[in-house]
Amino acid sequence: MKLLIKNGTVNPVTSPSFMGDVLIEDGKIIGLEQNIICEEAQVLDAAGMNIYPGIIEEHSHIGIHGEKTNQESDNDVNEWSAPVTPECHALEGIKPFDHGFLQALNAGVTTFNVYPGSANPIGGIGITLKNDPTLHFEDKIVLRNSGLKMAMGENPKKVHSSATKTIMTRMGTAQVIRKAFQDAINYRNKKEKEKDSRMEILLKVLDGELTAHVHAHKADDILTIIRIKEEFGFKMCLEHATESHLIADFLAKKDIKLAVGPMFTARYKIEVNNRSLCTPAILEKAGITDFCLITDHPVIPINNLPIEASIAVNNGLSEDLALRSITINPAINLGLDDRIGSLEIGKDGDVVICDRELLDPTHRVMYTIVNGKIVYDMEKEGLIL
Amino acid sequence: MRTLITNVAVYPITSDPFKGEVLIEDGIIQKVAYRVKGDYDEMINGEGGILMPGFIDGHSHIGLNPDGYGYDYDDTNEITDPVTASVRSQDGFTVLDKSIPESARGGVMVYCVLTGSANPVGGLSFIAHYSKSNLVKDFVIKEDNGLKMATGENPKRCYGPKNKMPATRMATAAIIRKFLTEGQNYIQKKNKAAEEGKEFTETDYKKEIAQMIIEKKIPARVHCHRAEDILTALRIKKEFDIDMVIEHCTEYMKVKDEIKAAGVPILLGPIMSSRSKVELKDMSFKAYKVACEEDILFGCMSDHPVFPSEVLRLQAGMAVNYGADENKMLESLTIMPAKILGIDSEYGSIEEGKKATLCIWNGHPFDSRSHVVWNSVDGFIK
Repeated sequence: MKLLIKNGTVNPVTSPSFMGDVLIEDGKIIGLEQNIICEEAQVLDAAGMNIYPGIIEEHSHIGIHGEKTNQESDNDVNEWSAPVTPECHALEGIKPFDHGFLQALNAGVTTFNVYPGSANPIGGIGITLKNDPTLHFEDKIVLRNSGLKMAMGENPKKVHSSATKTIMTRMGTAQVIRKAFQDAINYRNKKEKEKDSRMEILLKVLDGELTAHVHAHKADDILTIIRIKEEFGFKMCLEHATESHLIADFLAKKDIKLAVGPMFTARYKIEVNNRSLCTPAILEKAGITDFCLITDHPVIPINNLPIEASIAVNNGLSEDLALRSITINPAINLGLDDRIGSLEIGKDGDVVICDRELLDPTHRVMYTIVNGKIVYDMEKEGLIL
Repeated sequence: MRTLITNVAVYPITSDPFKGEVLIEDGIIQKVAYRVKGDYDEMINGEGGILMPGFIDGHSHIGLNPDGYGYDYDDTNEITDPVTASVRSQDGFTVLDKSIPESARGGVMVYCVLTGSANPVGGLSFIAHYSKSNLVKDFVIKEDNGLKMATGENPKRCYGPKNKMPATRMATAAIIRKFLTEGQNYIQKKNKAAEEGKEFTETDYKKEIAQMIIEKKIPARVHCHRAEDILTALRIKKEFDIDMVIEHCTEYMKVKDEIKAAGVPILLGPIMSSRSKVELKDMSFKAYKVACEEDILFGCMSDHPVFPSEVLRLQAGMAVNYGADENKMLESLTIMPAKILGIDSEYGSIEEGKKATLCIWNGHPFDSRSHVVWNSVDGFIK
């Protein structure tokens, strides 16, 4: 099965834009040039339109925080019954028919990552899904274990000072994390041991097989988790990183990744008091060019991801990095840049086609294409409410 | 004692109906034919009624929370610990339940009695046969035939508010996995002791049950309504290579391909109840129609007292109303649940050599005006 997208402005993100065509066969991009001729292909006329790689959301709670029922029964984000729950997996909490999947399609989001919430210092494992509604749920999985979600700051304090009475302060959160990893090291060193799935997961983090994705807003929380990371030596991505612009020069020297956002929430808790629309631009000036932008859906709806990028441009970020921050950068962050994140020969046929430029906030997504299949057609399906 | 049932339309279920006779000796079906030759001690005249095997309700809580007794007599859920594998429904069963004779009135003669769905790992079920006895043992036809497990809302609701695990679906899955992993560790320990010629001194009731599941001696009977819960159960089945029955399976239609690929039988229902919680919001009788079309192994179940076992037949009848195949729905009350419960060599159809668990109806059971006029336990019903 072949799909030929013709006569659009193609922006592959990792190479310069050009006027031309994209040819996809069996889900993979096989042609990227002007005037491709392929008689057996289904042709999609993209004259006057802009063609981009599918958008990637690095941090969402789609499906795990079920929408539209607004009931506790559909909310499987936080296993707050204990502070350390590495055995919890987002996969088991996602409702495969949740409305968020559709909303993402409408916004051109072709791949998204889902994490457990931030109630626990060690919350659980995340998962990355391809947003192809024609696939069975299990076949949507791109990365089964996309990282171990952890959390610093207000949320663990607030939840566990009342629910389990195990944490009262930020000091407590730090020591809970240190103890968990020390327990894992002790488990590894035990000669005669019974298999313990929780410890096995923590060992994967210590061995670098699994990246720690740590919810941290305030600069002091960021500094604490960097200390812990350096003590134990694991790979890390900071999630939210709200005050990262205050310590941008420091972060630029560190081997850590950043997932910034959501950029336009209310300053509804102290740890987001310094939230700024200028954060991405300041990070870029400090030389950090591998961060991605996130919506934390449903904290802000996933349709806002390209809007976040355009507002960041409005506040000083370069257009190139703005596009990268919602395409190739999240792909690199998830370790999936060999498959998705840009339009390149051999990569997955994940494409979004807009009537205007993606960074123009008035753009409308006309087609979303996943694995070479048109899964959203604005003309036919209209806007998804 | 030889009993001849005559003047009936015989519905053997496993073959086409016909007008004929059935000879029973000492509770076993001896002959099924148009005319049975030979002697008999007693004759039952069906007066043109329909002879059917007693219905099998694959998933029931009958006797655990007897009707009209309220909380004091509710022994369905041991909500003290999310893992109560060694709890046995037989120990909670009371013959006092007036639903037992009522169910027989609705043609339900065999039921699998399961523990409730509060715990991710609930307890052992047993299969009962209708009896007039006051002794539980006279009801039992198969002990410890499966281990109830539960996913979805109920475990979350029972433990989350107590600040105990599970508060989410993620933890429910983790608890079930942990239970099975501990079972694997337990088997290894036992094997090691045997290899070293040592006596095993750490017998653990719960882990013994996990061992039964891992060694496929009994299936896991997993309560799942929503698609995500069904998929979670199927993943666990695959990871640990265990036998499984999906119970309720309310969103079956959304994951029919995955169910078929996994080859897992389902006990579908109850559909004839209210959409009383979020996980039931997409409940529909169409699920039976699709199950018939997909030709999978399924049973129509009551979850008594959620939906009364007595009128289980009308739930199947409503499924026909929604386009399900009538013969297939009769199978879903008889031979298919018998296969799911592993008792099809003795129950579930009218065949020579099987147990004579039989009912004579004065009309088709899917017609609400029909009733049982005779059954093999009570005889003629006044």
